[in-house]
Amino acid sequence: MEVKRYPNKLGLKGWLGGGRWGVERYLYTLHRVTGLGLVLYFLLHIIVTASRALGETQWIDAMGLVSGTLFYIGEYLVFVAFAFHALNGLRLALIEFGILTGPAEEPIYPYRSSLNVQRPFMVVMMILVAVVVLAGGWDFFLTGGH
Amino acid sequence: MSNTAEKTTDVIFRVRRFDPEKDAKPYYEDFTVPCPPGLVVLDGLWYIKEHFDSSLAWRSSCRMGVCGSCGMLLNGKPHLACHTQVREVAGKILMVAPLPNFDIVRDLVPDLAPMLDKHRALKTTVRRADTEEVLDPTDQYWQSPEELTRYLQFAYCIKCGCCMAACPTLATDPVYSGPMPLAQGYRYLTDSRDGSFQERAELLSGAEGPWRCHYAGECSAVCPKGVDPARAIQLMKRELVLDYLKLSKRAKCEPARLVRPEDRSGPREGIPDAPEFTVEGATSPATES
Amino acid sequence: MAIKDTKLWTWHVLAGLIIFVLLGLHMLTMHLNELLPIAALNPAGGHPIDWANVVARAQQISTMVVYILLLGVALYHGLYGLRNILMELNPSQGLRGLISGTIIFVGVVLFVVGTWAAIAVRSTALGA
Repeated sequence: MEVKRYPNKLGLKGWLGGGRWGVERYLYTLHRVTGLGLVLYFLLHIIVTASRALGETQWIDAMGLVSGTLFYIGEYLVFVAFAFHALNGLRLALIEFGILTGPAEEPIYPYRSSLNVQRPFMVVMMILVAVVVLAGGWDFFLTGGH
Repeated sequence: MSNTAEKTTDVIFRVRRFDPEKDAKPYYEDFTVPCPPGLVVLDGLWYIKEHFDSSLAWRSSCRMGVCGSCGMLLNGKPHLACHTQVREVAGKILMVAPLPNFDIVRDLVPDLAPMLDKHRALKTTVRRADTEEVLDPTDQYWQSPEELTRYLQFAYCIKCGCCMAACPTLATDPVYSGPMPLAQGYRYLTDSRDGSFQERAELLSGAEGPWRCHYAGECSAVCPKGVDPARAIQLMKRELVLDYLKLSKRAKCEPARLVRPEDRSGPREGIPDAPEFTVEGATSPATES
Repeated sequence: MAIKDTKLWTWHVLAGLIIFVLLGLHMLTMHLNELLPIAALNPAGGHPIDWANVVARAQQISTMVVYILLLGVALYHGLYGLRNILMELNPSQGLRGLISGTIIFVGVVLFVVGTWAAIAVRSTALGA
């Protein structure tokens, strides 16, 4: 007798969390989103900046192509994405090499997990992200920029 | 004496129902359950079964948080129903659903077989070359308290499946092993009695390995026993990477040896002998050879 | 021929650490030049993307080395990450091969283009 099952995977919604998750879950989602943004920007960036090898005129044309206000704001968003992805990536590298997780310890209630161990570093990292984002914002919008 | 904190309040249990023989897809049904302070969700479900609908199906057994049967999604987060007070997770409405990332068998019953298959596939037993000794033991294997601490935390797992429900990778990817099998895989990888490091490294080198974990950390956040599978997975990555970079000490270790007579310490000085037996003919292991 | 995930992942993280340094340098050059001006990064002064600065940087051999290295590790890191995301969406067997193949192809082509540009700009710059 074939027993009917009902599929119950969360699908892509499972990547976005559900409102009651810890901070690290949202950092995971943001890391994916910024990573995708960065890689797509990067692929186009290689082609646009390769024009410098063709001489001054081509370079100026290429820069002219990407000089509108919308592009400028988009570029700032890429910078913000970089700041987050790089610093969160550093945190993840330290965790995933077992450095910030802390060693295995007997679980005594109330349980402290590796999430508690890495949390101070996560807070420092988010402050650094804010600093870099503000520094970039100052450079982009409050000075001559580039 | 009126103390509002002690009052019984009505909570609406919004339960996800599904009968494979009658329904095309799951739907929600509301039951109003009187909840005194301290009532756990499992008690609420029993109340529904006894007073409203005896066909409501779920898994439960020990009702004290050790068997791992009653994992459910309570207001969007995986918990053990016996272990979770209604007031801890709900105000007026408590959404009760089966654990996600598992197929639904019926009502609140998930199909845990794929999780247990993945667990078995990662060879979660102590494996070593001296099979005769393993099958017909003559003595214990020697293990220090430090070596025990390396894996003891992960041995507390009750296989409830809450971590699997919380994992974002498992939401879309059926090949990834998931927190429970990987945490158990690490429990054996790092057990000093195990002698199959290279075999495990090979098993874990593909999509079933820890590489699709990106430390969202929710598995550890929802684990009811403090097993911290996220930590196990990252420590596993560390072991496997160190082995790849030929820097691993664990890979080169011999598996634990048998206990030797000199390992056994006798009684400490100054401890008096045990009193004589009062029952005739009684013996104890200490008095036998 | 499939390389094990153990190795691919290790390189992914090591590449990330290299990118942290080199892309940080690139961002310092391009987007933090007013706050933290470093003469060696923008020798001609003014805006970082002025042709004068492109030429001045191209004349430094270190620029070429850094750009080619950064290009390589960033393409590997980014495309491996993209491949991971796509594979976790559980594509069919045939689609898996197509995804991996396309990603490798795009990566190689862009690496060739970027490396050519980094080398060719030196003759443009030194000839200018």
